[in-house]
Amino acid sequence: MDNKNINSEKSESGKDTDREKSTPVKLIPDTAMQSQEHQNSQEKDINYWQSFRDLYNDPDFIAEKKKEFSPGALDRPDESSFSKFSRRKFLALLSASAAVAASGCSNFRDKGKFVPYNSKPESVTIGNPTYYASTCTGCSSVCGLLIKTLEGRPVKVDGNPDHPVSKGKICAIGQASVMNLYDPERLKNPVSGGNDVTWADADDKIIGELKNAASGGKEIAIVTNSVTSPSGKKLLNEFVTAYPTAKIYSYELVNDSPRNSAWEKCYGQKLYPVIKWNDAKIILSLESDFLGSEGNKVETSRLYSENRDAFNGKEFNRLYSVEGSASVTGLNADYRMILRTDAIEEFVICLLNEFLVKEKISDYAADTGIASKLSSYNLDAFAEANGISKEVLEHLISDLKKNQGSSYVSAGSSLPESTHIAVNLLNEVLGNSKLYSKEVSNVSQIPLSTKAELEDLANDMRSGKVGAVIHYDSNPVYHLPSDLGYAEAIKNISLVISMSEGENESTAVSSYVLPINSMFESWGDFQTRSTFISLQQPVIAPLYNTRQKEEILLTWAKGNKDAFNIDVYHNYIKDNWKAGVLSQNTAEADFMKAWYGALNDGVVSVKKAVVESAGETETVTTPTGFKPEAFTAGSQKMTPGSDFVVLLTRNSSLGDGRFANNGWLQELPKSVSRVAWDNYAAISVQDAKEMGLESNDLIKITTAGGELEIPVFIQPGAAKGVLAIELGYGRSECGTVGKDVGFNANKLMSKNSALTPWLMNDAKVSKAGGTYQIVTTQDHYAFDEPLYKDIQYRREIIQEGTYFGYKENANFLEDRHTKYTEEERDKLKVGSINKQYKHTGTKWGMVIDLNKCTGCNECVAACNVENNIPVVGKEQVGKHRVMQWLRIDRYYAGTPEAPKASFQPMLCQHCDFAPCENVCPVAATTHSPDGINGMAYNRCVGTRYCSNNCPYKVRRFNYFNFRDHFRDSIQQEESFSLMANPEVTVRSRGVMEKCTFCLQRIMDERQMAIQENRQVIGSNVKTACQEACNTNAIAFGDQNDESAEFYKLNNSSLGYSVLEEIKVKPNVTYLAKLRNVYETETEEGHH
Amino acid sequence: MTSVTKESKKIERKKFFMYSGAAALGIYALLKNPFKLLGSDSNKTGDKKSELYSGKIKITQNPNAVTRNTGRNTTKLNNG
Repeated sequence: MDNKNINSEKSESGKDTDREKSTPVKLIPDTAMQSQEHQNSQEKDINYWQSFRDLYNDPDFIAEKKKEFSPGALDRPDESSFSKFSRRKFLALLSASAAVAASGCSNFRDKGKFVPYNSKPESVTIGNPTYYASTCTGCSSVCGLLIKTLEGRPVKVDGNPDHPVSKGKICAIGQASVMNLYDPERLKNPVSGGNDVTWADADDKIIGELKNAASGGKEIAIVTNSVTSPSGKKLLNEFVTAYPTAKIYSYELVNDSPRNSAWEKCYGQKLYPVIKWNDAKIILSLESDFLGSEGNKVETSRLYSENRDAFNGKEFNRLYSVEGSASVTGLNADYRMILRTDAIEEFVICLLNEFLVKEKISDYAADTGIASKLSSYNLDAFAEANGISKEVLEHLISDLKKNQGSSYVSAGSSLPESTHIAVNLLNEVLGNSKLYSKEVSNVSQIPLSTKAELEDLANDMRSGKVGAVIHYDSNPVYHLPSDLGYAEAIKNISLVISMSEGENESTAVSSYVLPINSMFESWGDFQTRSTFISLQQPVIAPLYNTRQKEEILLTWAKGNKDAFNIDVYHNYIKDNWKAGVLSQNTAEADFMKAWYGALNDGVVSVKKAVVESAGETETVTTPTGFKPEAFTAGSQKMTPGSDFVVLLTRNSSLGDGRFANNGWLQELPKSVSRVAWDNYAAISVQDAKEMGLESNDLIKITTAGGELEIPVFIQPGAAKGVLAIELGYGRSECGTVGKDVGFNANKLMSKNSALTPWLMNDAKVSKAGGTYQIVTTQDHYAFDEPLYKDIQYRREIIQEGTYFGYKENANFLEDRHTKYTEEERDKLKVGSINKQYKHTGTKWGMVIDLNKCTGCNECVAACNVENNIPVVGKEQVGKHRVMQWLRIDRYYAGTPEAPKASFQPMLCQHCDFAPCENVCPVAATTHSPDGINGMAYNRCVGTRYCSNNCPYKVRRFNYFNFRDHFRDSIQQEESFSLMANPEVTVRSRGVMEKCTFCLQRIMDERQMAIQENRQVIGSNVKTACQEACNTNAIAFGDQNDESAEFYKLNNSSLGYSVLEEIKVKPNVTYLAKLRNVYETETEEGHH
Repeated sequence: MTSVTKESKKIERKKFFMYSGAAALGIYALLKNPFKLLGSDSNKTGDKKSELYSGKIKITQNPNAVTRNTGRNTTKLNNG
């Protein structure tokens, strides 16, 4: 290889190019150098050279090679030429700016400080919960509460087991009430004219103005919801004494006025009696949703389900329902008859005709007045005209006749007085007065104001007779019928005071807005029954600058702002009790002992209404005699019309709308339609077809009260000509969660309603054009899809039988499996690819009795609170991203016009061979030795394979950090973080979650077992859903403990697993639903 | 290096700590409550503001409430 070739190769490859540039090189050596070069090149290996200077033996290069350091290399640098910005400064500033940027731009929120107690309260052990008995004031039922607090924070609410009415249960409103306490949008300071003021300033000015109004002869109107507190009533009376022009007005958006007024006309007593539902063998419900939204459903559901237990030795009751809407009660009925609501009165009179004129089963048959009124009615003709099954009617007549004295006819609270009178007579004829309790009666502290009284108030406000209006934790601007003109009349009043926990329509028109304590921060005593009084105690000091409404009124009644102190109402109640309920304890020490005992228990038994100084308390005694003239006077009041019937019903989650800002309650799906976040007009399939409507289409409804545009939802099973709308929605002044959610159906109510404020049969309905999207947690349209139709039976998800069939053959469920051929059974015997793990110790399991489950949703609400379930909002619910771990599946069967429904709570089944576990690439979901399918949130990387592979679809994925993604991150507010149950991890974005069988409660029991050196006892663990279930439909325990009651349930002949054939071996057992239909029917919901 | 230069550096470091300490205090005071430092009517409304909710939640148990030992196993006391 010659030099030329080497050069050309190097330059082509270019590998030495940089090196060549680094040193000045003479590419064409001069002649003098050439001879030298040639000479030297002879001396070295021509194949190794480093540069052209080296190759051509540049003398400088040769000289440089002899020195280790090139010239100047050892010289000190010129410091004056350096930047004044030193490296140290640069690094310091860099790190400082990085720290500032990191702290300023991060999502850091001040979580406060953990400070140990200086002096620990005696009752508190860090990490251990403390319980308080109290009373819920979410509605006028005032159920007993057991409040769980952790380090002073209320985190969970359940029923007080000592409470005679609620017996340890509480409804969804009570369950979710902790969210009301921590609502960051609660009012925090008194406000006057839009500015925060001090309580002293507000009290001073208000007392002055009230005195002026009283001395000027102007009325001071106190507008309140129903008063259930004896001490509260006494206080109101004292206020009236202090300000003689004061008058008290009380109202409820939905109330029992028609029922009570009918009762008064029939029996001369003001209040309807307490019903012994558990003694009723036959129940006929007439548009009465006693299992869903009417009355004290906590108590009624419990009493009803006592006779729906296949194992307690009692006979099943039989429930008939006649209704125009599709209510929870109706869809739980053994027989359901669909009838326009305004035809119900005629139906009752036809029944009376049947029993009195035809059958003459009662002495009332001899009453000529009654007989003549009944003579023109005929049940057969009525059934023919209204399409009611004659066979079912025959069953009903036969049952009511056979069970005289042990049946009960219940008329819905929305029905008019005349219908209630007819129903009272029917119950009287059937001897059902035996079911009116003789031991206990209802109690009313202050009767509700009549329609005329409220109308007078509005007129007086307009005419200037009223000097001041006090909204005593009420919202009449929203609630009262719009044609009463209350909202306009209030503008004439110079002093309007609203006491409220949050912003509402009435606070918006008030000159003073006074923030009040929540029920967790308040004292109170309550009496709704003649035999006991319950107590409310504050479990936490007020979070904000609020006062209890009674404290405020008491201060004003004393006429001096300095009369207030934080114990003013506490002492007031104590003094009342010292003089009344506990008056037998004359010594102070005895009284205090009894007082603390009463607070411990939460309830005190009394023989009569005894808050002595509270004045007269209305109670009722056992009815003596029915007054036939109540029925014979006048003609039938409710007759079927030709226009639409509009039925306004109470929402079982939002109540009268006061809980609209509670996201948990807004997101709780309605039991029947499974719609969340909105109300709608439920319309029948027939009407929708006739009017060319689809679900979500807007319609315009016009009644005597006003107009409303609202979307329709096609409700299978609704009667033709009936629209059912839930109240409590469409709040225009509310927090960010509840504002403008749904439609304000109060606008349809009229002060001049011919029937009741909640029932109109002269509504005009037209298509409004346009749509409004409502979201449901179950498919709108699955009903007619051949793929889905009756899938619950075809795949044995729901298994049903008849009560008669069960009594004949308790093993009917097992016998059904004999339908398989020998070959098919062999196939079914194919085992799993997994090896069965032997759970020799505790193995947790759950049993859900479908006979007792009414689909009421209380379990879902309890699960939300216990397990820190986030609210995701309407949009995300629409995308099927609802996060509730427990859902109630509602299945229809039959025709869309007259379906049969089944409810089934569905949660993680904790399968022995859980398909979710096999597919998790990071083993985030694994099985524990005690049979629990667990989730390691830290390990989950969010592949969602598990959810994909779950046959029950019970896994929930955090598509977002929903706390940060909903309504301007309101769930991230400091107060909401105090609400979280510290025993359950708060999950974030990208993590899968699901039911854990309330693992934290299991761990508590395990810890106790270790401390007490014993085995874990299954019955000691109660899951949140189990505790909340009003009907005790849910049982939980150790499947291996043969001595436990749970074991018998778990292995009962009614037990089955959902999707048993896929062999994942779930640990939730369902008890098959038994319909108590007639013996002649061999109805079996299974094929 | 001479002892003189060493001494002077020590003094510089001392000053540095003094300045940084003072600066930290200043920043803390500024961050803590700038409105009180800069506001002109703080004395006038001070009493009223202290009576209003200040934006900090404090959890306090009510001393007059009576607890139960456990949630489920209630012990009925003599309450008349």
